Amino acid sequence: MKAAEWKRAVRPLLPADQPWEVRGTLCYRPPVRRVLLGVMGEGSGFDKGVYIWRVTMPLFVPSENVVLSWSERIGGGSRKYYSYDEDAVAAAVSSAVEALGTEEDALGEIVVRDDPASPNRRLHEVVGYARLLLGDSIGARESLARAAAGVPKAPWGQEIIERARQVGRLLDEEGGDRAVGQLEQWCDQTAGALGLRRSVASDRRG
Amino acid sequence: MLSGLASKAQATVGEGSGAVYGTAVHSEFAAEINALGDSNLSTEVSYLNGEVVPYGTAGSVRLDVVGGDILEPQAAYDLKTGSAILTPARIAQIQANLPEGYQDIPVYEVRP
Repeated sequence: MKAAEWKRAVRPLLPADQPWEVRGTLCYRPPVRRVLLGVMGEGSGFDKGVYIWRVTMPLFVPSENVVLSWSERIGGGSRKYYSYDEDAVAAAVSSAVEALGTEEDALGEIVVRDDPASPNRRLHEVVGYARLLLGDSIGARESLARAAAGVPKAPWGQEIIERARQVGRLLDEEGGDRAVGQLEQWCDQTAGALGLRRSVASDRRG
Repeated sequence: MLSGLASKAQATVGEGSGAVYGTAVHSEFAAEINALGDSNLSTEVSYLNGEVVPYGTAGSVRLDVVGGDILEPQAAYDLKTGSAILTPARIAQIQANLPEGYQDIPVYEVRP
């Protein structure tokens, strides 16, 4: 299913009482704040099927591309949908939209996935920032310490360490607001790279 | 088990060769895995720098099948047909893009 075809199929299925924007095969509810919430059709390399994702993307980790690590494929990891099966596509998109929730819900879902024993440095970074945004400074420090621990195998691992140390330092030396301010800057950076419409400063209060 | 599904996929598609044939077998193989209903398996998962990304993201590697949670993958499977082989360079490329802590997982070649 090509982007135009996906757009045609999905547009009528999105709740009419909410604003939606479409970028390629990503549909999202603007304005975004710290977490991108939406529905995406990911093409297959083998046929015209699409994997339908309920997208939850933390914007507070700088990224030049869409990240689906925290998102969910509707129907399971191997379920593809085809344009000829309109009912299945409609059900999947509706299911994804209904499960989107709020940004706070998404941050909570991220924190729930915490596993202190995990060797996945990115997981600790994202959980740490999510905890910080939810007001849990102590938990954030613990997660960020795990993100910054050890020796990375790849350059991107070193970038995670540097960011985690930077936010941890801001949290310790300048307070939670300054640390959150850094995350807001990264949200702006990621949203800009993805061409997303982010909320203006006055929308961000609370 | 996956080899059996690959053989089934090949039998469904029939005899053939070349890229188009390989794509058809891959498509059928993915359908067989979905029909299996195993929530532990995901098909066509792309990784870049330790993150899951959409298909086609520049620099990403696409895995035919991933076993386990895609954030914490336990095994990767690459279906090969005809004379295509899974090279050490390809395995290294795949592992380099998997999440940190999971870069040593086995990468298996699956053949009908």
